[in-house]
Amino acid sequence: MFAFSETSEKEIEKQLVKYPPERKKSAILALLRIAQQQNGYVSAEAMEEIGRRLDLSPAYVESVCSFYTMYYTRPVGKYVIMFCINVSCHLLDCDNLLEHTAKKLNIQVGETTADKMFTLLREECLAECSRAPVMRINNDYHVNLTPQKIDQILDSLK
Amino acid sequence: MISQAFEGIKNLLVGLGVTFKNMLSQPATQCYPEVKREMPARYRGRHFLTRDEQGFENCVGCELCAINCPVSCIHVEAAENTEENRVSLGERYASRYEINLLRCIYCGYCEEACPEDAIILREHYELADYDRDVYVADKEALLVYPKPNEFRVNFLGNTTLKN
Amino acid sequence: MPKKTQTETVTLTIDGKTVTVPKGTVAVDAAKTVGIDIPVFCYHEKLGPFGCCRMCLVEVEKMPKLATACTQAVGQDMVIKTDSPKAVKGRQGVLEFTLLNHPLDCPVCDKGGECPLQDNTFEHGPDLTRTEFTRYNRDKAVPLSPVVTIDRERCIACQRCTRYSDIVEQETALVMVNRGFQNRVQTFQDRPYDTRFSGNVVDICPVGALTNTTYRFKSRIWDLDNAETLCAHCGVNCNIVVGVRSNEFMRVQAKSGENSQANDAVDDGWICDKGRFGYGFVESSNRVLKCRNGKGDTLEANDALGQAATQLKKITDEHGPQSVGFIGSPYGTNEELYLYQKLFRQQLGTNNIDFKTYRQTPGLPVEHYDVGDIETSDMVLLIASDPTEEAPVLDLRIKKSVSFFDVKLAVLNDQKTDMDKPAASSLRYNVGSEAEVLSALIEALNDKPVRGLEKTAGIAPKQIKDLAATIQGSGKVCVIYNPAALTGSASDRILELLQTIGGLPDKQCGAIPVAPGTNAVGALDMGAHPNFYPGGLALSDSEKIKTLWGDEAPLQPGLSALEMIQKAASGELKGLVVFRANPVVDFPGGPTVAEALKKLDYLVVHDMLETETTQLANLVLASNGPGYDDGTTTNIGGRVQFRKRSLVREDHPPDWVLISRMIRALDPEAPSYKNSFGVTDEISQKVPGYEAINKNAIKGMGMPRKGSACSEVQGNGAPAAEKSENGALRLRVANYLFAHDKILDASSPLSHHFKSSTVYLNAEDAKALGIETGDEVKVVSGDAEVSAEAEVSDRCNPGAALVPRVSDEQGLMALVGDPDAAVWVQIKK
Repeated sequence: MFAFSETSEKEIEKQLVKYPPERKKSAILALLRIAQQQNGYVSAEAMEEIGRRLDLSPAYVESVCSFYTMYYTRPVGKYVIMFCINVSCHLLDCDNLLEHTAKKLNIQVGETTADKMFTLLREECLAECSRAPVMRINNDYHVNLTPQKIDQILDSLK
Repeated sequence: MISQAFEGIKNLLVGLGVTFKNMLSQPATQCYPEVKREMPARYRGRHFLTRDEQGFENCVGCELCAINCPVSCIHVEAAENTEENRVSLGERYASRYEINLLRCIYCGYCEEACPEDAIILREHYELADYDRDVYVADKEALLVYPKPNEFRVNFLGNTTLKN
Repeated sequence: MPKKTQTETVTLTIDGKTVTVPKGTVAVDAAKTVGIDIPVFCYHEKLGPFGCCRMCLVEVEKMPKLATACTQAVGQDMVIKTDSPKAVKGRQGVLEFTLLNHPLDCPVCDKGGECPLQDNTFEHGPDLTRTEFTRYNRDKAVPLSPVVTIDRERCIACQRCTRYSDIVEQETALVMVNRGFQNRVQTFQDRPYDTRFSGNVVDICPVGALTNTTYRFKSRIWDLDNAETLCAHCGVNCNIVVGVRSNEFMRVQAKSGENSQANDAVDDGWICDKGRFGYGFVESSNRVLKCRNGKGDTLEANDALGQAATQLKKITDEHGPQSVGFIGSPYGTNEELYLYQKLFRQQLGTNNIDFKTYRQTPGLPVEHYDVGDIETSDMVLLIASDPTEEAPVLDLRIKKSVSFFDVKLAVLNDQKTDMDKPAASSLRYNVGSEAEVLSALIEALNDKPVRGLEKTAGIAPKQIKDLAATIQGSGKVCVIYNPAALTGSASDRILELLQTIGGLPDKQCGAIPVAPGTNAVGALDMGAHPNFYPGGLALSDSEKIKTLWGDEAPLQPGLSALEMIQKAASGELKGLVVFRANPVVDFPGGPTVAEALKKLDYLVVHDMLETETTQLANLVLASNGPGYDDGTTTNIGGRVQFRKRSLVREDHPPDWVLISRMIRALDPEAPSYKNSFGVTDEISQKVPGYEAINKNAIKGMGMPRKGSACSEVQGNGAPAAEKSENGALRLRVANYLFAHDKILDASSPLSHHFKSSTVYLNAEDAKALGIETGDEVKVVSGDAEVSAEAEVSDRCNPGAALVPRVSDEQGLMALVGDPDAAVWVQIKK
């Protein structure tokens, strides 16, 4: 069962006053973020709970949640690695870099390591083409990647 | 006068020439049913349903043959393939397929319409029978594909498959 | 959606043709008015503009780029070109993209032949694709629910279905998840999509992505003979198209834009799942196919009806006309019920004719509103009615009116319903206190002080005053009520209320009575009432009755259906005809009804399915029923429509023939009819209000009949609701759309909707009784008991136990005695 924690409740209150009561569904993104902050990901129960609070069907919440790649619908590791696979990075061989990372972490793309440290995901365009290839680990960008650089970054995080 | 007589003789010889030529050549008529005629490959005789290399039926029961048939002589009912009962490779197959060979005008539109090359008209032309019911060919009858001219006439005069 | 009352127009040119349309119309609709067809996928006239599929690209002069005709509202002097090279090329490009990953498996697709994607590709598409990649493979034939299958490969992401779920059904059960290449139509966590209206997505899907599981691969659409007919479940009488292949029932579709013009006056082009998938009964193994006598010997139809007629006549000769009776059904057509009442009134000389167990008299003191009037009203007052379960498509209409036409919805009910959500105000009174609440509302409307109702009805006087103020402040008020859910004198109070609202200054008021059954309005109009002749002629109106029905016409008040059962039990009633009803299960009393029927000398049951009542009959007459018989029905809005047959039975006559032969067996002079319209013509002569109804008049949209005059609205004051004793709770029998009865039997594709017996208790009562949700309890009244699972909820106010009728086996009606008196039940663990 999912329940918002006390800190989350306070945060929700703050968010809800931003919108007129009849438009409270606008707070959906904020509530999804709060749910993710609390549990690390947005579970199905959390979506139902958000739907109840905002008078939305749970399906609608899932639809919104799944549209944005930065809401995770499954548990993720401590570090979420998002690998840009769009044109600029693609031309600079991001596919091999991604494969290299996957091999190093010993997981497939989309999976989480057994020690719950890393989750590896593909991402369309991280808006940093000038310094491609790029990956994003949680809130930090790592640019001009090479296999050595990736090894170095991952080792520093372990 | 002379030229007229010459012209007459010439015509006579040309005419007789045809006669003599035919005296020496093979006759066009054949002693059917002892001798059976080889039909061209694209002759539109009896219908057959085909199978693919794995033995599955090609027909998916789409009924395009039935809707294209100008005399509405084809009746198809479809059903869904399941893992246990796989008849064709696609999602559906024809659970019932019937052609009324008496109503059929052998136009070949069904063959033309078929997206799966499942129905073909072949060179089998010996379709005579004494029993009208035989002429509603069902799936069982249509899925047999005998080689050309393998029919024989039994002592009653009915056309049956050899062996 | 432009409001219907819009009058401002604009004039523009489309492909050189001048068009004048209301302001706000989109280009696609404007083009349609002059016969120009702009191809669309995502646009649906009932869903409004969206513009995601880009199929409808057109060139608009002075616009730099191509515009989507479905979102482009037309403007004055606009010049639109649909066939310019630029527009044609644009659409071709769009289609090439749309088809990029479409599997093109048209030969095995159920939509093939009626597929907009097929048609549009044929007309506007490119000859070849330029893509060299292999197509993207996705899941095929996944069940979205037990009755709807989704093929994800075929989906072109037009979002018609998800928008339908959002805008029309207002459940938002179906959504697009993920994005871009990965997006797909899905329910929450892939749970079954089992709303009450899920089947409509099959109709509106412009490709073969959403298909009807019950019709899967059964035939191709060109095999079907389509009959435009009516649904025979609830009182809305939605227009449906029944597809039949070689006299075998194949499928039901809504009559909507895709196949022919939707009947906006009735259903707006939507039908519910019961209407679409609940048609197993037409080919059920439980059908009565042949007439038979009590011993089980099969009889020819003509012999059987002759026997029935002569036997009934014999009983009246011996015991007088009061010794026979007729219990009809709101499921019969106007023709059948008209002929039956004629048989009983003219040939047998009795007024013992009825079709219901609740109290209702024909006629309303105000106008009988059509369903379409809901949209143009300022306020809808919903009383004791649960449209979602009782008349589902009415539910859609109310939701639409509230969302798009700013209609204020006020709900006055004793139970929580789905209508509370769109309602601007919703009052929940105590079960059984409706007469009091209505009286209070009448007082409030007359600006009299409102007495305290908190104790007896659970409603504060202020709430009643507020409601009255809203009614007073609205110009056009439409009252929708369920006569079958009004107990005691509330059936008089509702008429008084209507009269009061109608009498307010500057007020338009009308009502829609939503009784259970397909043709409850028609049954009343056809005189299936012990005190009223057809057309609402009261027995006191003897002069008019004599001119229409002859000097012999019986004027002695007849027995109501329940009185007939009582008289049968006491032995005073000797012969009874039961037409398409199952009193043993459906009438209050349950098993006691069976005992009463057993005492009859002669019981004729005329039905299409085997029921508990046919088991008791001395003679069973087979009825073909909906699907096989022609006839007209009158819907809740008083609109008379033609229910055409879709299947043919040659071995058994239609019901109207059967009944007219019964009449002729007793009176050889009686007319015989060429077809069902022959009876309709007689109805138009004999039934006041139906004068204008004939074959041609009701073609297409149907035609509203004139409502009959209302008899004097009776006096004032309501007795205070009875008090409970020994902590007993008042029973409220609620309705459930997918009840497991004879119509929806175990083989029905809707069987996943069947519910187990449940009793809803208010938290207060549950606490006092020590019952929690999930407890197995017994609902006991006298000797009768019904087992149920308890659910603690706020569905009804304290002091009541609400039990929905979920199946015939539940035996719920055994708890109910006299429907006018309160039913008190004990809840025992």
